[in-house]
Amino acid sequence: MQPSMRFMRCEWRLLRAQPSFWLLTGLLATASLYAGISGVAWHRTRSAEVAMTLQQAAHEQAADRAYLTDFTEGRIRLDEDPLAALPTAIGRRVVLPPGPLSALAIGQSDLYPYRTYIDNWSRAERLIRDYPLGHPLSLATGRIDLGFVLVYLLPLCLIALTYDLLAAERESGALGLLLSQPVPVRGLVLARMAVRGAWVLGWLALASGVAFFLACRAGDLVRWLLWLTTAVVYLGLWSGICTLVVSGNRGSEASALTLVGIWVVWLLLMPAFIDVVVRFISPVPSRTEYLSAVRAAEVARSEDEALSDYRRERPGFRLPEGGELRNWIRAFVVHMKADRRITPVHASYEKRIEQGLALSACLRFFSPGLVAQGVLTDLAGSSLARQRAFTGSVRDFKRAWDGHLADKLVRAERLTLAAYDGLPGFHFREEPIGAVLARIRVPMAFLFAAAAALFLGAIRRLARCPLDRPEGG
Amino acid sequence: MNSRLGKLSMFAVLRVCRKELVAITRDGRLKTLALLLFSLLCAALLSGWQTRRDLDAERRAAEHVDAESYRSQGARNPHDAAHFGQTAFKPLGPLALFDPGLVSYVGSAVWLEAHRMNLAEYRPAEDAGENHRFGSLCAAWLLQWIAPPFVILLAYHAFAGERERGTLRLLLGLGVSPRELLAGKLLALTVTLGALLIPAMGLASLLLFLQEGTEDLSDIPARSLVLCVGYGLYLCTVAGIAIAVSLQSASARSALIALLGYWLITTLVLPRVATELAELAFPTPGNAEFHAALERDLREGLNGHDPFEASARALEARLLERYGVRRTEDLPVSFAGVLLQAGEERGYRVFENHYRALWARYDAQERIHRVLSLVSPMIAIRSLSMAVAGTDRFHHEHFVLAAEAHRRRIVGMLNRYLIEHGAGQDFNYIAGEALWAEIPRFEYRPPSLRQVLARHYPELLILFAWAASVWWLAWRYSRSPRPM
Repeated sequence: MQPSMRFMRCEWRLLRAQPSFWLLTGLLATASLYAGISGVAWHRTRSAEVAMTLQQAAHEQAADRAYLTDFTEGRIRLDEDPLAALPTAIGRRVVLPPGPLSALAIGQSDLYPYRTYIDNWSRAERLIRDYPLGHPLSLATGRIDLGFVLVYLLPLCLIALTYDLLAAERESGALGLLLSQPVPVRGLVLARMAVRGAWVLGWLALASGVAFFLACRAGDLVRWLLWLTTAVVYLGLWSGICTLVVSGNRGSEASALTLVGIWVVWLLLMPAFIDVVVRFISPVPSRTEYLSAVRAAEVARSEDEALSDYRRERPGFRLPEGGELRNWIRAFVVHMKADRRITPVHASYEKRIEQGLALSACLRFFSPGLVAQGVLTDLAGSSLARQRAFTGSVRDFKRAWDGHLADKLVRAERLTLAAYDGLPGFHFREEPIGAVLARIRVPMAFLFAAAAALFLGAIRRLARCPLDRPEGG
Repeated sequence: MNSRLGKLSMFAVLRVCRKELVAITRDGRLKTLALLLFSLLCAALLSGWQTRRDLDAERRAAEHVDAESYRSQGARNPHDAAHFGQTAFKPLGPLALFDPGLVSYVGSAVWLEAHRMNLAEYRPAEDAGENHRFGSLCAAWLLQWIAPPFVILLAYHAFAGERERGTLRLLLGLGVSPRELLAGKLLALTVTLGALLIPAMGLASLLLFLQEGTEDLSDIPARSLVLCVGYGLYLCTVAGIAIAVSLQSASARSALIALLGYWLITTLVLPRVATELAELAFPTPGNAEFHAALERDLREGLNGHDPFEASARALEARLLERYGVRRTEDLPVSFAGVLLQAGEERGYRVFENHYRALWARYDAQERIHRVLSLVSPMIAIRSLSMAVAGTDRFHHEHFVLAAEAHRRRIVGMLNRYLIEHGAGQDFNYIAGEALWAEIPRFEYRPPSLRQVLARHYPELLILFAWAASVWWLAWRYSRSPRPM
């Protein structure tokens, strides 16, 4: 048998004999399986919401068609309802389905709005208004999903399993005896690390497999495999750092402190620092300031001025003589002109947000946890990028909707069934996996390179591994 | 001189304290960590102060623009003005520089428009990128998350380390009682933390004093005191747990592992477990379900058998009979205005019914969090800190309700004006700018500290119980510590 396989077998036998190992395994298994089930439950709840929204939309459209049929067949008269069959109050429900692998990594998608109603009166600054109703504390804390377990908890499990990888034997004086068998120190350490790493990864893979089976489609298998690859690379990075630290001349206590310190810095302090740096250099523009700018744009022209502007654009435009119809069309033209003035304000605001996000994306490389989280949520389809793609699609849909109906409303043109059936519908197009890969290749390469560099450093350090108890314990 | 405090010799206690302080100051790692924590606290306070100052200035500017826009919207129908609406901007309390709490997750402005009660819009966390939830650097977060491991590092080897080095037997053999040892080490811990935190508190007080704004700051000293007491109890608890574990552990290493494990579970895992359990026990309704129920009740009435069209016809019949006319055009009041106001009042009941049910669900979820704070003092201090800083859900809902009351005032005024002046013209009636000037501005007073403490005194009690329990435990263990 290969020496490395022999080491791994021996190591597995030794680990199994320790009660603390089984305690940790219990915690690891519970956390992983719970996280998987929690993710599946969230995915199913969100899917049910989406289905309910689509059902609602179907009912509304059926009601609209029934109404237009009544109008066409003369059961609704214009003298009783001057606004009959005008596209004043029809709209479309728009909804974002949960990401393909959102059961594995919810990310911040429990925070983002995912449904809205688009009609002629929707405005650029309030296009998506349906905020998730979760308790703000829940939204601030986040859910327990496999992404959380992988990024935060599994490194701690690895640390707990490896902090005394060599130090325990060194402190007891047995290391010299062990290595004199002869046992190569590199082979020993790597075999030990492999057993522990595989055990930790195995539970995550099992839980993610269960979650994938219960909540995802077979067509997303490639995404899942990429997700698992990210998990392997991320845990490989942590294994590298653990190996590097334990291969030094440190006692187990000092190793544990160093590793937990690294965890605190990478996963707690660095993200907080990055948040502060982004706030100083490229702060998210305040919504308060944005609303002021929107308001100023809205009132830049009075109603009469807005109507005159519209008449200049459309020389044939005339308001009806009087009555409810005149009021509606007048209000709609004023609304339309205000919306056009607001659109560049909104675009400028979005551009500033993009600048802040771009800076965040650059600075995240100071925290491997942030990098891994970004890749995991991108693959899962619960990233900010997908949310922004949804928002962009809603804007495009709104433009298409206005393109079909705005002129009809201004001309007081009644809708026919054929025209109604020809109205655009909203369908969110999932990004092809190639586009996601293009986004994640740099962060994945970073994680891989960091893991490789740490392991190389550890292997070199192991060559000078001291056998005696470290000074000062 | 050998004064005694009960059975303790103050001389011995002070000598132990002095020795501990010398050891701490000689430990380069601890000094570095202390300096780092202090720098982070100062940076967080300064950053929070600047952010709050900037946001406050923007809010005032936005309120001014909103008010001016409303006044200068030109002559138009009052109902158009009701749709033109106003925005109520949420002020950020002065203590938000210490603990911004849920501010990023609850929205900063409420749109006050006709027909619809809105919750606050625009959650800053949506625009901030995915790292925002990892942690936002503020003084509260540092004291809740980072200060405990620092306290653990100071205290985990207090007894276990002495035991390992063999100095515990020597000290006990010299006649130092275990409780004098405990008291001395506790004093050293207190002095160290005090040296870190008191200057940071001084900076916080200065920044509070420099806060600009017209808010009533009279309860800030009382709120600050409550925060000091709360965090003092919390860090006391952490120190007590560390000492108690150190007293009982076989080695410093096992004490450290146990304490770090406890810190990670109570700080990282349990808050999320609390969230999950709260959601399982009292699930929040989904958006689709909630809004569908709201829209149904608006259409069909709260009892499901009172469609608005039928109510409107009944109202028309009553009015025609009351004024002895046959057509709504002949009424001496604007029927459109009457119908609008009736619709609004119907809506008020529906919105209240649904939103209060939602908030009652949130209250029930918070009770789960409170129960779990019996296991994790961090959950208790987090709730207390946000509440006292004015950045929790209660303060936000208080603001939303105040904004809604203002919305009803505005819409009611506009509808009444239309009713009284728009007879025969309804939506063709044009009101002049004098009307907009009469609409009052939104003035908001946040809840008092008394109201906050009435809701959150259990958290204070829990923290006190934690601190008392762990120190009682440490005191008991110190009676006969393991010498080897």
